[in-house]
Amino acid sequence: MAKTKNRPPELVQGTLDMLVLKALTRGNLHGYAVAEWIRATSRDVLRVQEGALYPALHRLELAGMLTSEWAVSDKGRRAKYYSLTAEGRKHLAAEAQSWHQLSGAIALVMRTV
Amino acid sequence: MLRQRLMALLRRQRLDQDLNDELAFHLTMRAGQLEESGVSHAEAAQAARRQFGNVAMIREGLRDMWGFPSAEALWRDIRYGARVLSRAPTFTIVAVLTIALGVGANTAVFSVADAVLLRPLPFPHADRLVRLYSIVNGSPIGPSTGDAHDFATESHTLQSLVIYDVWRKNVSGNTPGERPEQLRVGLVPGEFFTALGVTPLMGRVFTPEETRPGNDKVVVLTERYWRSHFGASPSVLGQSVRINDEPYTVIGIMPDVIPDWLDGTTFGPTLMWTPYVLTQEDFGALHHGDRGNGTIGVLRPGVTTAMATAELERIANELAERYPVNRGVGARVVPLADTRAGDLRPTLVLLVASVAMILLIACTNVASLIMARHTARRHEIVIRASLGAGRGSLVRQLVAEYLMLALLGGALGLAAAWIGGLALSSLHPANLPQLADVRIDARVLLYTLGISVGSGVLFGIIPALPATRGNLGTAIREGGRSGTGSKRRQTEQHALVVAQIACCVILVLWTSLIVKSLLRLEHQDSGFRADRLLTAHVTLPPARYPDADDAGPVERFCETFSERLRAIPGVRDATITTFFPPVNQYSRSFTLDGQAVSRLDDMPRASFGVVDDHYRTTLGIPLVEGRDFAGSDRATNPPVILINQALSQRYFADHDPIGRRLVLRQLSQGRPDSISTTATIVGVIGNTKNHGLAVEAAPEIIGLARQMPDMNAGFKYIVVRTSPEPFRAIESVRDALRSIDPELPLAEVATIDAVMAKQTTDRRLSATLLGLFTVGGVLLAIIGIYGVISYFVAQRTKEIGLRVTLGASRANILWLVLGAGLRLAAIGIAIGLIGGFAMGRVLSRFLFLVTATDPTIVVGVPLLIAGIAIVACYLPARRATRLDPVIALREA
Repeated sequence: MAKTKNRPPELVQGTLDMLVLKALTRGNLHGYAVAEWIRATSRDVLRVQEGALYPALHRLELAGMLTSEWAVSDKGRRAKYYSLTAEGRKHLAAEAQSWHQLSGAIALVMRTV
Repeated sequence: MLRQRLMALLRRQRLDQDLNDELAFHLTMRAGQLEESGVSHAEAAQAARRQFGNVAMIREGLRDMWGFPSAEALWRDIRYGARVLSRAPTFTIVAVLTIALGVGANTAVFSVADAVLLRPLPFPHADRLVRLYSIVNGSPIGPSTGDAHDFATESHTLQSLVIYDVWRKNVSGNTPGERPEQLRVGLVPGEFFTALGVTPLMGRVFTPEETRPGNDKVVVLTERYWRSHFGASPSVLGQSVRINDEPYTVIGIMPDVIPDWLDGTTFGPTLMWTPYVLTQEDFGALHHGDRGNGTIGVLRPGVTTAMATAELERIANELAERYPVNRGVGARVVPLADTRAGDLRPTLVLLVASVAMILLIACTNVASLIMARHTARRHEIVIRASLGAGRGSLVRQLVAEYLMLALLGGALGLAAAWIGGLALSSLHPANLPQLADVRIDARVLLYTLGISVGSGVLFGIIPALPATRGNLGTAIREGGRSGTGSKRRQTEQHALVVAQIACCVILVLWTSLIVKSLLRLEHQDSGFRADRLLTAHVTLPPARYPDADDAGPVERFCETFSERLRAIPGVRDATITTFFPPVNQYSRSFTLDGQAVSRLDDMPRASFGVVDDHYRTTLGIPLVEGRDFAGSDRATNPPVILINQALSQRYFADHDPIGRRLVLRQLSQGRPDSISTTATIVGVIGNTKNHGLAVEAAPEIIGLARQMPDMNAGFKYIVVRTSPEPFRAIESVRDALRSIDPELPLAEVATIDAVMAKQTTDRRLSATLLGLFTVGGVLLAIIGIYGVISYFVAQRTKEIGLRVTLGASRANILWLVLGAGLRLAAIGIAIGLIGGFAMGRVLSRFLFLVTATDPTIVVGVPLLIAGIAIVACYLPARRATRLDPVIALREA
């Protein structure tokens, strides 16, 4: 089926946390906006499953990398907004660095004929 | 992280709502986006849901993450637990009953301990209320009026100090034809009520004016007297009550909040108060020796009892320099709440310790049941784990199950304690007024809940934890059969048995020491013939029977009454006296004639009473030397006295006391010389107890009432020896009294046997309760040991089979099992003996003529417990000897 063909590639294991943290560097966002930002920024390639997104958000919050507060969204509804903590920023920086190393390395390997 | 989880737990409701809102918001946003791209509203909502996946499952996952299971999950655990428990009814019933026994005993004892030791007093500023005692020869006694006055004026730690007294008086209400009854009347200043913070239901308390002589004919009634004698009439104020033949005007009604234990109830509860008349003279130099007043002190805010004691000791030292009768007299301040327990404190400490041990035995029993059950359940747990149940949810499941067990047992125990409490209060002895406040209230309920949950954790959850750990694969392969026969589990079970045996040893040790003491106390030689003696008290009101200078009317009454008593058919002898054994509350200082004492505080003191010439014969006290009082000892003759053997041995060790003279001095009146009476010793009589059953008889002097008019006061006991059952004579005794003075009530009617039994009430109560608890504890332990040894045999079936095959005899096998049991018993007994003696200090308060290391008990108790262990091991051991080796080897 067409659906299967167009299916976006699976997120590499462990990268979802990093993507969520990255999304939140742009400011406070609610869960839906995080998902939409990742989808739009990756030009529709990365679609975050809700079933994975919310556990990730809550796990990061419990780990102290995010904080949250309830505010009224631009649509006028009550929504939970997440923001990065200092610890979250540190974690993101570390994750990003090792990601760049890893993806650079993989690219090198793959480019070799 | 932990903080977040705690917050989550506290705000569970809120977080649940937040989770729902957050996910709902996402769905709405997604649906909105789809609608914008042209999908219909209904379809958009459905599509959003579809895309999201299983909302309920995600929500459940998030909840778990936050560490709070949903209400549904909890409910599921409870239903599952209930199903598991109901599928094992024997286990459940045994476990619940065991816990009920432990919790019930603890709840019952706690409800008593709470009422007597812990619950705050029912007064405002109760923590600042104290009692003040003078310390004479190491024992506390209420201060004299003079001392109390000086303490109150010189102290800076006491905000106020009130002294008061309690007297027996004949009282009648204003109903026409009402005969007087003897009641306890408190003599108090108005500040007595102010200090306690109690205000009258109506009317007022005494003014300072009313504590002056002549103005004192006013009375404040207790609520209960007002209800019983005035029908709670609202117009009672201004009516009158006759007290000792004089009218007193009712000026106030006090609510029944002043507890009876405040002054004991030796002569019944205090039902009314009149003013305590004190003049400047009562505070003067002559009134420092007249001790025994009741006190209520109020500490200044921030002052501790230790600070107050230090200050009052200093003042007492100053007083000792000013007044000879104060030499060597100290002072002590005690929180009022601490005086509430009185003699019950050591009893309660002991009972609390023993029920704690019962609970421990009960918990270990249930724990070993559960451990054995886990062997069977391991399979179930493993399967649930392999089907995806997390360790958290497994633990949660077990917690729910065992807490349910604990709470069921707790509820049953509470019911048992409640019924037991009812039974206890129905036989609540009148001389233990503290027990009146025992009730099952919120504090007791909270305690019961606490120990139920606590024991649930102890017996269930701690042993359950290892069951959820470990390698699932191995466990499945082992099929849950031999997987738990591990060394570690065995050690745990053996530790439980050792703990049970140790607890048993302590319980049995204490019980046997206390029962032996009680028996010694009750069966000691009383020194007189206590059977068939009837006693009663008569209060002669001073208005008609003046006792100050001329005791003529008192003496005439006594002579007529005793004659008429002796004339009653069935009465063999009768006496009128100021005391009878085993208590004589009066004492007197004396000197041997011709032997001057240079210091007043070196002057010897002896128990003292005045009687008539039938005292010794009525009570049946042996005459050791000399002669008894006789009719020929007339009032006008020089006074003669009897002494007891204790006095004879102490002061006349090497010469004959007969014919020697003693000078009796009444220091308390402050005029030592004018009140001294010189009397000749004519006889020595056998010792009878005079300070209670548990104390050796003190030296005692007995005078003839008619020869000592100044000591012939209007408080008289009659003692009547009857040939039939004593109470059969009671109506004739009443008639005889009525024929002399119809206005005199006959009070405190009892047999001397009953009076003596009352002396041991608290000991008998504690011995009975302790005995019951011990029997319960030992039965539990037998079940526990039996269970563990049976399990031991079951686990070793294969080994035993092998041994039999290799030629072991039945005796060998019997010894294998019994030996294992006895080894544990030996360790438990050793620990128990050490523990029992470590607490010996508490026990010494109870022991009478028995030492904590009583040889028969120290040897007997371990033998008894070893015997019990053998009995408990014997059945499983016998089963082991009957194993068919072939079957044993095949099955294992």
